[in-house]
Amino acid sequence: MQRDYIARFMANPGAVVGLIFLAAVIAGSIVAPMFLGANPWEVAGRPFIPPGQDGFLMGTDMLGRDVALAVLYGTRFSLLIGVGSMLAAVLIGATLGAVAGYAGGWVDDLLMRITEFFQILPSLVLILVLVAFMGASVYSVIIGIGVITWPNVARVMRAEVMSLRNREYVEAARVIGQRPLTILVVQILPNAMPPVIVIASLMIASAILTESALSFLGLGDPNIMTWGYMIGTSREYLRFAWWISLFPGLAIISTVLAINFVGDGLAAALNPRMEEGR
Amino acid sequence: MKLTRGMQLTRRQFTALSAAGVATTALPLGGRALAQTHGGTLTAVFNIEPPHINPGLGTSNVIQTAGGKVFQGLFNLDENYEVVPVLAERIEVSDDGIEYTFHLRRNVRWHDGAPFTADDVLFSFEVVPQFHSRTRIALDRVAETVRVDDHTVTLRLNGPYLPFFLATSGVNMAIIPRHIYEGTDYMSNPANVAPIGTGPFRFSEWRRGEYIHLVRNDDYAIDDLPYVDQIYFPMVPDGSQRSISVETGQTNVIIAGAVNLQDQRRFVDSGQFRIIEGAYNAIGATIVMNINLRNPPFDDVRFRKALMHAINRQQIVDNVFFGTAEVMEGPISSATAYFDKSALTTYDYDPQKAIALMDEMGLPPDSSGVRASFRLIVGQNSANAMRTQELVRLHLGAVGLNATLVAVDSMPTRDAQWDFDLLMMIPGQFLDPDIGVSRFYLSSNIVNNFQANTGGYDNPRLDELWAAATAATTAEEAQRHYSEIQRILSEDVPRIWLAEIDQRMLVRNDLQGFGNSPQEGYAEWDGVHFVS
Repeated sequence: MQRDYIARFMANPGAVVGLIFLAAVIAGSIVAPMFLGANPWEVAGRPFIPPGQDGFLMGTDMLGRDVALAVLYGTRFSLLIGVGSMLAAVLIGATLGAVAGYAGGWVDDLLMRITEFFQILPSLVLILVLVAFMGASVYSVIIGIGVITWPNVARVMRAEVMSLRNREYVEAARVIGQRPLTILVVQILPNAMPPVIVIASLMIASAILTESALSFLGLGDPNIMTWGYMIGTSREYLRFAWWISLFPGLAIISTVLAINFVGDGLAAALNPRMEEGR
Repeated sequence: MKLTRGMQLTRRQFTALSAAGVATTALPLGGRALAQTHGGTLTAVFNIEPPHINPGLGTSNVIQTAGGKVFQGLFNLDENYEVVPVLAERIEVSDDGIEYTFHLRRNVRWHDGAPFTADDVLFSFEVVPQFHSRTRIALDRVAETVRVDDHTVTLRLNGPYLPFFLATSGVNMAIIPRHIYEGTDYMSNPANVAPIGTGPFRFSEWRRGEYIHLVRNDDYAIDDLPYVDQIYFPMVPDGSQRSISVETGQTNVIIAGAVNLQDQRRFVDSGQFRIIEGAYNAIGATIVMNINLRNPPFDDVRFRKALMHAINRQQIVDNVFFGTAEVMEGPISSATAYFDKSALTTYDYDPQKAIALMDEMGLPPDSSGVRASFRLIVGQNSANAMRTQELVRLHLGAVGLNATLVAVDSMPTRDAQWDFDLLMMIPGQFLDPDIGVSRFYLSSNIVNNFQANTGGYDNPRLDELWAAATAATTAEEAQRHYSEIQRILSEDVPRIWLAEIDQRMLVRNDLQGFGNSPQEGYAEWDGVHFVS
């Protein structure tokens, strides 16, 4: 069964390329600073050195910092925020969705109304308010993105649980006297997870984009070097120092694209019917 | 074109200015009116939206830029710091330097048609100091104001005060209409956002978040002026959009803070714009960090000296200001009167000295190499302050000091509430230490106001010296006290002095008629006209 998953994933070239790219990026962000230097804020040369000159692969920024090093460091924080906020959203969304779907009745109604409340708020506006309120830091950004994205997870989880809770194997578990929580966790959740995993992988990509938007607007954590921060602070100089914005921009595009490919691959692998239906 | 530092106030000019009886000339303001082309639109883009544009009730770059066209002072200062009459057509100073008599112009009307009289002047002398920290210090010395007649006002000081003209020129002391403001809550008066002044341009429209629009005042006191028909101040928070507004030809006057230094250089190199030298000399901008001396370890002078040694100020000058600044060595900037380098204890960039000082005071690094952690408050709407703090935190980190940035919308609020460890600000010194410097160090000024002595520096000896310096009747005597003040402050380091900034104004080459005044950015611009 598991071998089937892997085989179906590997059969999707886009997903494999994406996965390799992501692995390379993560490895690069860990290994490369050992060679390039430890601190992306360090002034390494004159400001505005174009790419390729004086040994700066991607040039220097407006304070003379190495853009290549900053892009690599940006990988760490962008992925950290992506994965962290995905985990936050899944934790909130999967829990509420599963409870709502399994319990049904007024519990379901209540939880779904709360979910809808979050869904109808414009998400970027909500996160701007949240981050402004909590103060700009890595944690507030992670929590903020988690808070605006969990409703999707909750709805998918609820639908899955509702369709599974009356299956025969669940009825069987109920008959032999398993308690509801055990049934939910042991019987239903493992089978409800595949679509959630697919959504979650895509949420990493959208979280990276959201963080970039926040940093671009000056609401990210200014104590850490992220891609959005680099673009946000250097866009004034775009006319004559394009490289400071271009390289973090390329990093965002390629990473988000790679994660999307991997997400598509996961969807195909975990849900073979989708492939057949095409 | 090389960007050079603008003109500075020299000792000689300052002494000339302070000599009693300096300003009895009645300069015919209309004299420059050689029939120029009328018409055209000036556009000067703003980086932030001002809360109001009454320069009598608030001082900021954008308030004074827009408000300076609508409101006027009794007089301005020219490039030699000589008095140029504006609303006062003649000023007499008694030989003992105590009595100042202002003879007001008679044909001046407010924009709503009401006549301008001595009552407006007396009212302004009473109200404006409540809102201007720097004007207040000067007007504290006024013992008596006398309304001689409808168009004559006499101020009697309780002693000679050398920087009186600097402190009460138009840029510090705007005259506001009594008939609009008397008996109202000044700050919430609707006229603040639809002002009525005496200047060459009258208020037309304020579209919130978009622009402020001024139009020509056809009843301006000087016939034939101003030349241009209207001025727009669009408000564009994004720096790249401001630069684009210059490139598309919309913006033709680039005020301080509107466009970054690289784009300024590009516009000058392209041959389309020129620099108005010294247009902000009277402001004397500096970038400094305020220290909350109540919070350990900042209460230890060795720690403050360590900060001075740890920060590479030359790198800030080179990489943030690209040479349009100089390292600031002490409390009084080199552009301000009475600067005395020989009195200063100076601090070279030497991280080893910083580390030695912290070792000596018993502040060892912990297991992760951190000796102390604290907050650094920075206003995020200032690109220069944001760039500077990045370098400052880098330099501090190199000696084991972990400065966490707190980027805030309203830095002045944090300053006024004493809610900071370090706080970066860009205050002006306004040419004289008693106008722009004393407010940060006098123990009597430890109050909850922006740009007061919010760090809590309390040194009775310094208070005495400052009182003696401002009561001095000759520049030599004042210099002696100010040198001692600089010796004490540079030894005590109650603030971190980073750099003296040369702000500049650029104008498009088809515009002529800007003056050389040291506050030209805030001037009336009534002589500005287009040439083809």
